[in-house]
Parts: sequence; structure tokens; C-alpha cells
Amino acid sequence: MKSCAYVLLISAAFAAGFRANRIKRSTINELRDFKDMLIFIEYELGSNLPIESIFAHAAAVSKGSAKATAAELYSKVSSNARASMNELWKTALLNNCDLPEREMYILRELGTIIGQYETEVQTSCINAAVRRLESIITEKEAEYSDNRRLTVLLPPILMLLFLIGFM
Amino acid sequence: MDAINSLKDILNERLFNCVQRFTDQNINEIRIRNGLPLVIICGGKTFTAETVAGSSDIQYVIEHAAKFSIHSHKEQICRGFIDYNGLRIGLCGTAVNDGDKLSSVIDISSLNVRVPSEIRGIFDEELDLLLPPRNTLIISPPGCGKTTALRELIRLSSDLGYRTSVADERNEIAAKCGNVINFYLGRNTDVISNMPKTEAVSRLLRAMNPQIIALDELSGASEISTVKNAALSGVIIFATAHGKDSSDAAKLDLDFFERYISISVHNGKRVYRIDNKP
Repeated sequence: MKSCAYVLLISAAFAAGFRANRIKRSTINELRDFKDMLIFIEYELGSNLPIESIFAHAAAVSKGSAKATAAELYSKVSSNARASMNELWKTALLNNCDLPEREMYILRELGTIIGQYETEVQTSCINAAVRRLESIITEKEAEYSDNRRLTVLLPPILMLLFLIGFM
Repeated sequence: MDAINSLKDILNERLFNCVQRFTDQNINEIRIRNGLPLVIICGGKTFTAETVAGSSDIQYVIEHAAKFSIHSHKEQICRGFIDYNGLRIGLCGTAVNDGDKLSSVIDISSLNVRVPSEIRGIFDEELDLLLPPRNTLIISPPGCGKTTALRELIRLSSDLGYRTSVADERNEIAAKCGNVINFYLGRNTDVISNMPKTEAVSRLLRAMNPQIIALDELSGASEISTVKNAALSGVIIFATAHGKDSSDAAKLDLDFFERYISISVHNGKRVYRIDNKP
């Protein structure tokens, strides 16, 4: 009975390790999706397209939570929602994406420039955000590959040590 | 055209609540100035509201009139207005010049939202003076209803079977929204909107085989010369211009028209005077 409980506890610790690993991976993927969406928006803005079309196209080509964010923005913009672009952008991010505060801040700040007067200002701000996201992705990927085994193995090892100590 | 719904789209809740009190009084214009009370002009009378507009209210109007794409309306903003479903929103701010060229307008401090109106039957008693159609210039000071009169003239001729084309540079005559024309302009009317008048007239001549071409607010040598050439090619021109009355036509180099409609406002009522050249 006891050994069954130990096996279960160690398995749970393994699962926790795998889960922590998967969260790290999904944050990287989510950042990639947003980065790709921003690159697309930057490109379309260069053609002077209206924001409504840009979000419609972005919703069609993006993935994951970036797709959901673009789709929500398209629906709000096409119905001429009674809010500013900044508010719509922040709400859509809040509703659809689950990124840490530092990355959210980078994305959130774009709400003040999207759809504004100067196309060049918009594209250069988006470009700066893309570069910051790229460096965060590189940093997170390096951290992920360095610590992948540790993230998976650390919880069961700790659990094993705890159980040995307990016995 | 449902002007009230369009106003609801572009005004934030605070401003719309203020304007809503005047909706039964035929709103002509809404003046929104940063730091000053809202001014509403209804049926030629001016009302000053208690609500004071701020820069965020102005930003809201511009953002919504441009459907969140101010960058796509840059050219219009440089020309001093944005149109939204037939509402014409005039803007005043600080010009930014790139050499000789106006590159942008920033720090927009006041807006004038003009609400177009459709009044049918204004020429019913003078039809014999207006038919058959001839080159006609509608002339009056700003705000007397030139565009409304032009719309009526277009409708009358078009319903009589004349192929009529409209060069609607500011989208004020037809108030086109997508491919829907919000003002009834007759059964034989085609509209090009948001295109400079000189270019629109030559396109209409080439493509639409018109008998009548109508355009609003004629000004500048190139527009006048384009219209003169079109008139020489056998097309009838309906146009409007700013001026006191028909006596100003010669000063404006617009004396090639054969019929003049002068509009003046007396005690809030519009008075139309029609002069036919012999």
C-alpha cells in the first residue's frame, strides 16, 4: 500500500514537471504567434489598408491566442464599438492572451499607436515591439533548452528525497 | 440617410447625450472645440450647450469617423475634413509642412460636424424656370443649402430621364456608405465618390456617357477649366460655388453658365432666385 502511494506521488511529481515544461513551451509559442501577427500587421499597414481589413486578414492567418485577439478586434472595429482603439486593443489582449506581465506590457503599449495618423510611426513602433519579442523568445528558448531536463526531473527528485527522508 | 445613427457612431456617450436633446430640431451643424461648450446649429439657430468638449472627445470623433484607421484618411485630413456616412467633419489644427507640401495636420482643436439634409420639392413652383436642364450654377454664401439644392436638381433631371453622373469628391451629395447611396438622386444617376473632381469628370465623360454631370463646390482654375471643357463637349453641368449671388459669377470666372440659382436666408427661411441667361 505504502509503495503504491510512493509510486503515485513520484508520478504526480513527474506530471508536475512535465506540466511546468509545457507551460514554458506554450508561452514561447504564444509569443511567436503574437510576433508573427505583429509582423503581418506591420506589413499590411505599409499598404495603408484600413484597420478593419488588417484585423480581418490577421485573424485569418494567425494562430492560437493571436488569432483570437485579431478576431475580437475585427469584430469590435467592424461594429464601430463605442470605445477607443487603445481600450479595444487592451481588452482583446486581456480576454485572449495569457502572457507574463513584461511581455503583456510590450503588446499593450501598441494600443496607443495602432490606427493613428502616421503609418511610419505605427510601423516603427510595431517593429520595435517585434524586436523586443524576438529577443525575449531567444532568451526563453535558450533557458528552455538549458533547463528542460531539470524542469521535468527536479520535482520527482525532490519528491524522492522527501520520501527517503520521511522513511 | 439616418443622420442620428451616424452621429451616435461618431460621438461618445457624453456628447451624444447632449446632442440628443436637439434631434427633433433638424440639426445642421455641431461645433466641437477643445475646452469650450458644444455649439449646435439647428434650423439656422445657434444653441450653446453646457457640455464642454475636451481633447479626448475630439480624438474619439476622429477615430470613429475614420473607423479606427486615421492613417487611411490622411489625405482627407490634409484637405481639412473626414466624411462618415454623409456627415462631413471639418477639422482645424496645426499644419505640418514638408517643403511646400502640407504633410499632415496635428493637434486638432476643433471640429465642425455638418449634417446633410434632404429637402424634396424645393423647386416645385419654379419647374418651368429649370426645365429643360441647362448649365446651372447654384451660388450662395456657405451654409445656405447649396448641396441640398444641387441634390434636388439632380433628382429632378434624373427622374425625367436624363443620364446624370455625379462627381462627389467629399461624398456629401450622395452620402455613399459602401456601395449604398443614402440620398435618393433619381433613377438615372451614377456616382463617383472620394475622387478629385477634375479626375472624376474626365472619367465620367469617358466611361458613363452622361448627359448631365453634377459636382459640388467648384473652385480653382483647374476645376473650372475641366468643367468648361466638359460643357464645351456638349454635357450639361450642374455645379455649386461660394459667392454672394449670381453677380459674383463673372468675378469667379464662372460666367459660362446659362442659369444661376442664388440662395439667401431671410429670417431662417431659404429664398431661391433663378436667373436664366437669354
